[in-house]
Amino acid sequence: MRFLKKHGRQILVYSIYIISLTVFQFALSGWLVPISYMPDLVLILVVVCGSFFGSDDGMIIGILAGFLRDMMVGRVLGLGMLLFMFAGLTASIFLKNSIRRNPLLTIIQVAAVSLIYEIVIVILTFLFPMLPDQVYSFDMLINLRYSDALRKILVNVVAAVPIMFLLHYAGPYRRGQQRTGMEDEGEGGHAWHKI
Amino acid sequence: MRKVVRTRIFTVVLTSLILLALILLSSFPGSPLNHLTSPVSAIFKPIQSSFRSVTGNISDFWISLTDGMSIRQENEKLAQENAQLKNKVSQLEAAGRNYEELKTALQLKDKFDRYEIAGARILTRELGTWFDVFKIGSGTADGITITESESFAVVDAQSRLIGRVLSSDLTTAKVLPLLHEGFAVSARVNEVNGAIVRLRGDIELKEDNLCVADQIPTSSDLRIGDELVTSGLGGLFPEGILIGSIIEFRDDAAGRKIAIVRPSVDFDNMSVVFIMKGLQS
Repeated sequence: MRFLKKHGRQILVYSIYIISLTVFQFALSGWLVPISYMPDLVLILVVVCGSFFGSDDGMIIGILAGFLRDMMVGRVLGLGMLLFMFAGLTASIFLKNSIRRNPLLTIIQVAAVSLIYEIVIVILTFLFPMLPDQVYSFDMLINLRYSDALRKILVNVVAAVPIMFLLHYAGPYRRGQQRTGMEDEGEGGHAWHKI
Repeated sequence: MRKVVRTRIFTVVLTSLILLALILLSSFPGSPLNHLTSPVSAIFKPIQSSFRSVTGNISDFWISLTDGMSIRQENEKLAQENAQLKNKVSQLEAAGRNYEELKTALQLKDKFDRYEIAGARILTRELGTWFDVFKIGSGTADGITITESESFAVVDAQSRLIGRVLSSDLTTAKVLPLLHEGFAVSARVNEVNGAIVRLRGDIELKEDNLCVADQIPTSSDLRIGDELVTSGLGGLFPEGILIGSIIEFRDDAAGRKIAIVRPSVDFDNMSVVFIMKGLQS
C-alpha cells in the first residue's frame, strides 16, 4: 500500500505512455506510415526517461517497453528487453558527473542512442545469421542500413521533441519534485531533471 | 557510494544474464516461455484489433481519394482493353467448358480441401530488422501449437504462400514471412517433373518484396516467368502452394546461379491470413 502511494503516479503515467506509444506505433507503422519513415517512439520514450529521470527509470521502462516489443514483433523473447534496457542505461550514463540535463542534450542522446541501436542491430545480424549457410558480410550490412539509419535517426530526433514535452509537463513526477535520500545524484542514477 | 554503484552494476549484470537466458530458451520452437506473453497478449489483442480497424478505415478513405484521379486515366485505357478482352472471353468460354469436362472426368478436387484452414486477422506489422515478424490473432486456444517438428503454413485467401507460424501464445501467434532472411522452403517449378530448388528470403531483396531461389540443379532448365510452388518436401508445407514467379537470374558471391522470385502474395495489402492447420481427421 505504501509502495503504491509512493510510486502510484509513476506506475500509472509510465503505463499510459508505454502502452499508448506501443499501440500508436503499431497502429501506424506499415499501415499508414511506411516503416522507414516511422520514428521508433518507444525507443525515444526509453531514452528520454533515462535522460530525464536517471538509470533506474531508464532501465525499468526499457525492460517493460522491450517486453511489449518482443511480444508484438520479436523473433525471440528478451532481445528487445535487453536492447531497450541498455538504451535507457546508456541515456542516463551519458551525462554522468553531471552536466545539468537539458533538452538539447537529450535530443543529442536520442540521436546517439538511435545510432548505437542501428549499429547493434547490424552486429547482431552479422553474428547470428538466420540461415547457417547464408552469412552476410559486415560491409554489405552496413551499406544496406546506412541510408535507412540516417533517416531513422532524423525522424527519431523530430519525434523526441513532443515526447520530451509530454514527459516534462505531464511526466511521472510532479514538476520541481526533488527526490530525497538519493545518494548518487550526479552518477546518472537518480539525478532529478530540473530545467 | 561505492556500494551503491556496485549494487547497480550487479543488478545490470544479473538482469542481462536473465534476459540472455530468456533469449536462448525462447528461441527453441515450441518453447513454453513464449506463453509468458499470453496474459499481455490477451489484453492487447482487442486494443490492436480495434486500432487496426480504425487505421484500416482511414487508409481505405485515403486510398479512395487518391485513386479518384488515377481511375479517370485508367478508364480510358480500360475502354481499349475492354474491346480486346471481349474477343478473348469468347475464346476462354470455350476453353472453360473443356476444363469443366476434364475436371469432372478426372474427379479433381480443390487442392487443399482436406486441410483444416483457420482465418486470423493481422494485428501488427514488422518494425525493422530483428523485429520483423508479424502478429496474428490466433493462438494455442485455436489449435495453433508449435513444436520442434511442427509448424503451420500461412497463406492468403487465394492459397498463396505468406510464411509460416514461428511461435504462439494463448491468443496470438507470430508469423515468419516468406521475405524474411530466416525463411526457407523447398520449392519446385510448377510443371510436370519441375526442378526442385530452395526458396529463401534475402536481407537485401526484402525491401523490394523479392526473394531468392537457390540450390538450382545444374541440369534444370529454369526460365523467367516460371511459377514456383511448394514441393512438399520436409513435411512442413503441403505440396502445391503457389509461391511466386521467377523474374531474373543472377550469380551469387560464389558464382552459383540463383533466381530472383517475386512472391505472388501482396504483402502490402494483407489484413487477414489463413493458417493451414493440418489434415482433417
